[in-house]
Amino acid sequence: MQDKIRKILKDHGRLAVDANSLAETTDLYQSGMTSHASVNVMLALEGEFDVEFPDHMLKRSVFESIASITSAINQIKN
Amino acid sequence: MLLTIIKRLISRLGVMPAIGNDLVFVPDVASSHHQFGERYLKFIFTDNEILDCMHKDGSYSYTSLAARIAAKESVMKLLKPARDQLLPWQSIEVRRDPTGAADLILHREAKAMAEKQSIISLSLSLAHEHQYASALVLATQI
Repeated sequence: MQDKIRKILKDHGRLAVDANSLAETTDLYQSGMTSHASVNVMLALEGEFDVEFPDHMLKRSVFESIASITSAINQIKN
Repeated sequence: MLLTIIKRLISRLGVMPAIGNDLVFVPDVASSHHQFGERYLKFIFTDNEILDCMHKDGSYSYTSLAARIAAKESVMKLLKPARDQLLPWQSIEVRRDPTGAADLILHREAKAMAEKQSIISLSLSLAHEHQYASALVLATQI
């Protein structure tokens, strides 16, 4: 799953660093992701993993790292 | 210097200003819309904003959409939501008043946050040039 997330971050996150070099807990916003880019990341994640982020998950903490995104997707799928 | 004078004047009146600004690359907005379609628009914009930015032929003014994103991001910077706090894009709305000037209307979460921070008014200025759109928001807090 994390490889797919990294690919999405690379394509949509508009990060200032290579998504493949990020640690799981690196703060994506500190790495250059804007709020607008995070919307693109969220929409791409929904398409890739066939999920829909519920309203209560649409906050900064859910999209702030690869680890938090992974946790959120697993939570939705389960 | 001028800003200092304004701040002193406002301080004497018992109110404090706060400023948020943002710059958006217009092609990014067009690209997002092309990739994600209506889902993208409906996630970020209210129905009024979508209509406001639509040409008569049904196409969109990406410059206008980008300016609205800049305005919303400016307000987000002002309100500084905590990492676990919800602040939906649609709770911040740009509307045109009868004279055509852009104005901000806050709903639900954004309105509650602004009230909690004692923000009594918001002023908005939008600008765009070629491929960039920007917004400046001035908030008055008591």
